[in-house]
Amino acid sequence: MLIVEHHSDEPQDMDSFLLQIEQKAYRMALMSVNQHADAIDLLQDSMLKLVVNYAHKPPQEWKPLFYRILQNRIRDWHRHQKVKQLLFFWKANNHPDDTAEEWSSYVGDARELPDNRLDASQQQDTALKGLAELSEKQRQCFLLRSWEGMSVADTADIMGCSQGSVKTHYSRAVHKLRSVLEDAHDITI
Amino acid sequence: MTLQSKSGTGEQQINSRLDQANAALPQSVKQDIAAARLNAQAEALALTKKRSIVRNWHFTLPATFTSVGVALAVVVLVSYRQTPLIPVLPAELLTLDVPLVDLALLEDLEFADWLAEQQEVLL
Repeated sequence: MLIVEHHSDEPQDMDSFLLQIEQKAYRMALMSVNQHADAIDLLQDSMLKLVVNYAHKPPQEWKPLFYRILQNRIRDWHRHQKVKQLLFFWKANNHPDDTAEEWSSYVGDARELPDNRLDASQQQDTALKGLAELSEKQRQCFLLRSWEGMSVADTADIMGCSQGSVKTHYSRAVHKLRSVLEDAHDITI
Repeated sequence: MTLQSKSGTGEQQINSRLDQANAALPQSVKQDIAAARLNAQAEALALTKKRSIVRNWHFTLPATFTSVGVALAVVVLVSYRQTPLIPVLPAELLTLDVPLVDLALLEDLEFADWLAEQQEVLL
């Protein structure tokens, strides 16, 4: 059961909703699968399923529903990859797609920033790398709770686990990220 | 600075970096994302139309009555054609001459039958 909070800035039509959510959803998918083409496929499938099956639902329910679909698709993708690796174990793990890129490659160039902003930018890059090093569950939890601002209940529903697990994953994610930042830049957060 | 606000600051840094990374996505990636959205919407529209066509075809009243009528007509026609026909009398029997002796015997038999009936009435 989804517990949905209504926000006044929520889009009221499907086009605006998809437009608003697409880049964050792409980033989440890309962080999980590490392949641009696969992330785009997952994004398209999730959007399709949302529009076909849930367009009639109230707009405030679209966001949790969409992220639940996306997380299920990502989980399916990982299962499929495991099976593929088992069946074709003699093949290399490298993706044949030459356009495959690391999710963290799409960041701004720090050299263009003035000196006073350079440190901050480097810290943020470290934080992003720390985010990449988190476990799948911790990263999902952090992104949904912190970046997307979802409630604990919605996050638990999206991830298919208890609210207690969400709190644990989130706490560990924050703790790890904090320690990564502290280690890398010799600062105390 | 409290622990909560400190961790909040760290989270804000990460969130703002994620937002920046999204803003700095290459144009080709942005185009791919937009294409994915448009494809999803187009496919959804086509799928919805297809479903509604199938639903209308199955459940409209005129279509139901027409299909029931056609089915009944087929059943009647098939059963009518399958009824066993009375065998036609061979043409030789119609043109064959009946012998006169047989006719005389038949008349005698009818007279004897009538006579017996009359006697029964009188008794």
